[in-house]
Amino acid sequence: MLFFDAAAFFANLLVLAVIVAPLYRYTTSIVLRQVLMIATGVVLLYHVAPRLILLYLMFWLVVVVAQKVMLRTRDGKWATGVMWVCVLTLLAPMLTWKLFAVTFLPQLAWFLHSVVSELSLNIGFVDSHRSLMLPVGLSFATFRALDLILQTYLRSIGQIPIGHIMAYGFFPVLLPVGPIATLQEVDFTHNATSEDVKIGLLRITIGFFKVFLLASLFQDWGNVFHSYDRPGWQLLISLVVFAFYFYLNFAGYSDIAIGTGRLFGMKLPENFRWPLFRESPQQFWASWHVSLSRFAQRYIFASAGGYRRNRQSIALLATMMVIAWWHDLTLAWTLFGVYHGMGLAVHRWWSQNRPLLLAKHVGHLWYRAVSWAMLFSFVVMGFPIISMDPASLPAFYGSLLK
Amino acid sequence: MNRMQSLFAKLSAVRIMAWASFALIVLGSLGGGVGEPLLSPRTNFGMGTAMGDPRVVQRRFPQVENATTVAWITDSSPTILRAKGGHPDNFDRVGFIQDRILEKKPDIEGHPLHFAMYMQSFGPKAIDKYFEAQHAISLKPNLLIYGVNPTFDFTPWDMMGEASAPGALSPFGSHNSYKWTLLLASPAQLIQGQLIRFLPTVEMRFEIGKHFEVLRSWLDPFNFRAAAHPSSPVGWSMMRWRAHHTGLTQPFDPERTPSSQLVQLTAMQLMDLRDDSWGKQILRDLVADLRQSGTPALIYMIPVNLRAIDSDPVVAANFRSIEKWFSEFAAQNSGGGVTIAPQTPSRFLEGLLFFDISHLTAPDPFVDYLSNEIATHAKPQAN
Repeated sequence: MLFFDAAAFFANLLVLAVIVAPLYRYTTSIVLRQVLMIATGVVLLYHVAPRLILLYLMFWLVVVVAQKVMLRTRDGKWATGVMWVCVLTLLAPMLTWKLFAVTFLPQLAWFLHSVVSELSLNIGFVDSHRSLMLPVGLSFATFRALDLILQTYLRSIGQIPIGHIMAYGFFPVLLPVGPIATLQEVDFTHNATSEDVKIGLLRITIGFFKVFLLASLFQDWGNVFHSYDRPGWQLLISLVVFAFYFYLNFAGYSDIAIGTGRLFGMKLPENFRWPLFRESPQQFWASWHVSLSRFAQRYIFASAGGYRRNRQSIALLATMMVIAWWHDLTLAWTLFGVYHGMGLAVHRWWSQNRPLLLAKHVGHLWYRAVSWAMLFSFVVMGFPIISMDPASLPAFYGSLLK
Repeated sequence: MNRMQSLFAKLSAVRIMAWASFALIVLGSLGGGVGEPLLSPRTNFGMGTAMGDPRVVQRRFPQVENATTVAWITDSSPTILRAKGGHPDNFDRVGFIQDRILEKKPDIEGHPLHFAMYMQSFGPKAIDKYFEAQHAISLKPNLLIYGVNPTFDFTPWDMMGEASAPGALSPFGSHNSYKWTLLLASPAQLIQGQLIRFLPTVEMRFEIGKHFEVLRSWLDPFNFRAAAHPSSPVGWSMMRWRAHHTGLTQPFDPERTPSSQLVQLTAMQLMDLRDDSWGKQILRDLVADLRQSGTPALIYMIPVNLRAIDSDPVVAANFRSIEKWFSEFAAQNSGGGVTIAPQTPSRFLEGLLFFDISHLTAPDPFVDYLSNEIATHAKPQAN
């Protein structure tokens, strides 16, 4: 996210939490709690860029309307058609941004900035000083909104009051880096216990250590992708270090988000479960950015017939493509989706067709060690795909052999 | 994970607090070092958050025995920048004018030169600097230096207009122009401004950050740090976009023009040139206060990038108007211990190179000029 400082966002959130969390805890009115969360989200977005308040206000109002429409039509014969219209409507901003970033983003920002400036010169001036950044967190918000609509379509949820949807949308913990929590997981009725607060604080601390101590030490190693005229062994080491940096940075922010949610008594879904120490692609994607994988599994893998043996490979590929395209609609991410989709499909085929001699050793230490080494290499070798211009990939991989 | 959570849940509140405190200390330590690896001020800076608005920081200037103390009221213009990475918005802060002066002139008549910096790095307004000057006067410095910034000191943005001035000096002491501060400074920056009073590590973050930098370099044996980052195609501020989109400023080369330059040019287009403007009145009041308190002072207009200013006819006309007024103001008000340099040094110093309108990349002539001025005007007498 260009020029967006997630660390500053969470630092501000934690400062506000000193006041907001006790207020939230000792407010018995759910409506007041929701208002408190919306207000906190608005303040934090203001400090990122005031125009984002307007963006998310419009976006979640559209979600409110879409949910109402879906609710009224889900028992009719047009239910599926309405669902697709709602889904495409909610996807439209994200898809437009990802397809036409260079032209769309400045125009969107300019439009929002103009409206903000019309409403208040002062706030418009503050907005002037903010960067012309990507719409921070829109991908996360889009998938949360889709989950809400699809759950409505599937009759998992009924009518949700507008305040509840807005509080879910502006819930500050989830705004910048997820996780993609469902409406049910953002439970405004739950009271934080002292245990929640302790666990939350510890989780936040762990997150800060991952991001600012460990990941920060290795952040420069990302330069390997545009400074690869080096011996192959250096590049290999660099890729391994970068993999841990990438993981620690993302997982650390997820820890901070989950820990902060806990301060409000919410048990948000886990996003990382030691993914770099898994032994198969399935295990990896069940433990890397779990909330995104969960979404894709529910709505793509299952819909594409992934639970039927003859459709598994196609479903896996489709699931991986959605996960990849959620990040960006570029050739690089398309290649990444194909890379991991193929990895999943090949591993699934291998699991079902491996020689009996090997199958007997599946649980043995040596087998697990080899499996881990193969998966780790596969994952590490995938990072260049999303970290550099695809045209440079042959040269980079060629350099590994030097 | 459940086992881990139940384990964590058993930890006592005291341990949690200890962890949180430790994290806070680490964060406080890292704040400055990570963002500004090349910045290592030797001067006693009253600086705030590296990326934020330093006016929220309580000023604490230790009295240095036998020193010649110079209180310096300034914006960010003494920061020396160096472009990097190819994109016009990418730069490193590589030092301060004051440090360069100290290298050239560490003492005056045997009394070590000591700068107490009142530095406000983000578009400070005349009113902010006026209140900083009030605080500085109370320190009874040997010399007070006041840098007049034509890009911001004469711009009447609503938030800093007369209406906000009555409440400008907040109870926090250094939270001048609270409206401005609250509009721009985030909750974390405000808290950091307060924490610096109690948590030495926050104040020492530059020093501690250097250790972190050493560790990071040690863990970078292949020297990836030296590799340039790619340019960011969308890295424009809204101000930059507005200037471009609406034709507010003259056409510019987006590949070579820093956003900060467009912000400064836009601000200069909005100058209030009236004789009773807020910016001019503040300077008059300041001179009166300095004279009344008997504080020796040097008021100068910061060096500015005349070539960039002249490229925009509206800005150029406004600037010349302010220059003319300032020169007359200097002629009328110099004396009684207050020296007002009538011209921006850009008019008579050769070899100044600018990053944008007001930040230098090659400051040597200006350093020489200021060193001589300080030697002339700072009297090493008892504080």
